[in-house]
Amino acid sequence: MLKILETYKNTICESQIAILYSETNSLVRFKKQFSHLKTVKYFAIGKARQVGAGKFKSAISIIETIISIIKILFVNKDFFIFDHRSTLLLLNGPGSCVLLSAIFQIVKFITFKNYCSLRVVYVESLARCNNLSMTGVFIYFLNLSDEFIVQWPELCSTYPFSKYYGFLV
Amino acid sequence: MTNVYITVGATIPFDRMIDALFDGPLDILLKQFSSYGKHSDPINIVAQCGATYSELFEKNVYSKLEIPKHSKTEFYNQSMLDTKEIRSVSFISKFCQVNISFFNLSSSLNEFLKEFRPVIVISHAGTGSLLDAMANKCQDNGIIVAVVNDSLMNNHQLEIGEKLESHGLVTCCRNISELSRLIQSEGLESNNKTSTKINTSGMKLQRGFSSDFNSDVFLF
Repeated sequence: MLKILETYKNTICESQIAILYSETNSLVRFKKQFSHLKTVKYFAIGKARQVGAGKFKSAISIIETIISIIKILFVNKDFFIFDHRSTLLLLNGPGSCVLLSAIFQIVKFITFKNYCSLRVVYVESLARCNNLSMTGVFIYFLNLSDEFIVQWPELCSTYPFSKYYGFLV
Repeated sequence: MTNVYITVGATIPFDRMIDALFDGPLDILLKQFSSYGKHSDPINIVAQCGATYSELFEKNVYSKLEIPKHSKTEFYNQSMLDTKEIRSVSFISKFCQVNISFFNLSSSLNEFLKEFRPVIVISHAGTGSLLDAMANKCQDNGIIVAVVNDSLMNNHQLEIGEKLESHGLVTCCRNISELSRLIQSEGLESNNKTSTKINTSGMKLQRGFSSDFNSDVFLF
């Protein structure tokens, strides 16, 4: 994600940005790398599933994550939904993305937003060249994103609804 | 100057890779490295090893050298790494002057690599590290060895490693013993020479900013 943002830093520098993070390590790197961005808000969300966690634990952490996302959305509803003419949700990886995109699709449905005013974009990891990641499978087959971007041409031909624009990183 | 950069990535420790590299006599490794530079050029080895850098340094480098203990050495662009968690040593080997540094993590790694321009990069097969390596290696004759950490979930590094190898961008080691074999005998780029020629002629990978993506998807 940091590398994608680095590539598009001139595109996003005028925007208001909200970072949803679940790992402080990445946050520190983001702050260092993008110190020139002025209006950035940071929100901590949980990890939907810890690596190697069992079913029961995962279920709890998924619920916790959903609650934390809804809380953030509700408290900052002006920022995320009403204040801006257009909103882009850019997703790049971990399991929380499935929850995030699902919640934003619901929000989109409720508020009658269309493709041009609220857009969910999922970018599959570069490490995936022959098949999708778990997050990717969920988002692709449940149709949770408005745009599904892959970074290898082979993937694009296997999954016809995906788009390919070369490496974005 | 023959610059060698070794990295295990920031997230998951991969001590086995460092151990395998420095397993066996140092001279074999140094001979391998020096074959990529001019004869008797000094060799700089910089290794990002994670939290266990100090133990790895003791075990793999320091204990093998017969030099006076605690000879403090500072090598020329060490200050660029901007870290205190670093161990360095300089010595004269059979071939040439050698500088070795092991460090934990550095937040200004990209600036350092731009300056360092390694001829040889030995990296775990993580996407971020490989991309950094491809962007910053010495352009004309630099080589990248991607070592797959096969203990990870679903062995997910294998896919990207093999893919990049098929495009002739890296040499992929599917496991640690393959790396040892390269170091001990075969040479760092021997096994992908043929595949390079077949594949790179067919297509070129586009990397970075895509104006199509920007106008179709990113902007409204």
